[in-house]
Amino acid sequence: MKNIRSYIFPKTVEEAVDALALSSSARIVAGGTTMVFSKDARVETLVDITRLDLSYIKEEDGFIKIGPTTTVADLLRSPIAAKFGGGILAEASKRVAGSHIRELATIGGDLAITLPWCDLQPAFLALDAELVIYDGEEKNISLADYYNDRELMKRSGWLIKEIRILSDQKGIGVFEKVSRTKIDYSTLDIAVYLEKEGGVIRSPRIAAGCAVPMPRRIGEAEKILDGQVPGPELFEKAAKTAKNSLRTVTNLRGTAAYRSHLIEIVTRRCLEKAWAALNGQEA
Amino acid sequence: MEISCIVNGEKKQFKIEPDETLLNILRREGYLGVKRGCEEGNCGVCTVLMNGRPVNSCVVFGAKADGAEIITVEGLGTPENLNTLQEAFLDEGAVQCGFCTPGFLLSATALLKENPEPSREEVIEALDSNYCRCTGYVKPINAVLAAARKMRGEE
Repeated sequence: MKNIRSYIFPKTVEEAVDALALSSSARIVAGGTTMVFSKDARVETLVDITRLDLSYIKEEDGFIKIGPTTTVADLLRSPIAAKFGGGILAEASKRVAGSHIRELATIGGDLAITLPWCDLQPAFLALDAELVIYDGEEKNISLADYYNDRELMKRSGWLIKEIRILSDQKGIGVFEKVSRTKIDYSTLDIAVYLEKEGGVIRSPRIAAGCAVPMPRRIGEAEKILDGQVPGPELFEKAAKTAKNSLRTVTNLRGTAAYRSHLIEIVTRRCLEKAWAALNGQEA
Repeated sequence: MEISCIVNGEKKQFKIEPDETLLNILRREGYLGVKRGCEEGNCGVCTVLMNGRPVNSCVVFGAKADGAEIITVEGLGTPENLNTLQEAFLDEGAVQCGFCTPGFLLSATALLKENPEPSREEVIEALDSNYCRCTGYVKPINAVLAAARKMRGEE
């Protein structure tokens, strides 16, 4: 049974963080599409952060800055998402749930928690996004490090104040989601980002989500690609390494073995697509 | 707690529980065109427009409606005076049991306001959050396209 006693709209980020720090029974609500199903009897206060002017997408000071309460639908509609990195943010946004949930679900909410419907995570990892965390003081942490920071994830009294992506990234990103139906939870999410310099690959990034215990970059496979002249064998090798580097999970949307198999195929396909796009072709 | 919002153009004040969903509140207040279906944000029969955007009211905390503008199917045409979209649903045979119809109408209302000339694909995209177990979707899609043509004065 739920025990919610109050639902508040703090007027400032400061007030929100204070309310969260004050009591271990307080929780953040942004879109609310996950929290609304919470049966956690410890939760007594809901702190809604959607009225703090934290909904925006802008290019400023060398960053693409995204406010945490920006909805997935707003990201999908934004010209920046459609253009930046070959449109990977729009591609990923389009695959988050259905159109109605996208009007509610927020970017910050999608990135903050690791649940099987958080499809944006690999795309933001592939763009090397960082989070501005606020707990009274601002602290920047890369998204990749965030998923390893269990201390922070467990602690209360903080929020994601902004999501930042370096805007000077000239490469192409590709996102693919495998799911049983278009709007089902994911069986596997893969995102890839490549830059091209001379004839070789630069700054390769590969990230996986939903099939794995925690979303993560696949550094083992990235190393194989960096500075190399691409070709079918190289992509094959990187894809196999990606598969072998990740521990996958079994649930009703797929067995661990099936997911491992998928990682290889989908990673290779994303790499081929990204490289083809960098060369002005379709894969 | 108390919220005030505008429902179908009328100013309203509701006393609500802090963890109540918008679906619960609207049905309790008599807006029975907002159907209770899966209550998991999947089926779309509880669709309403909140500040112009289609949302599943079953996954919206009611507190979020404070200060918002809500439109339910009761805010479209009336039984005596259906609007163009509702007429099109009847003309195209897009209504069978009717349980999903309010949700479809509201999703389509949001789409046509934003995009008066949608392609078939855009209609499918806009209706992706509404389940219908009777019609097989072809007729609701046709109905939205027919309504769009009519609203543009092409028929």
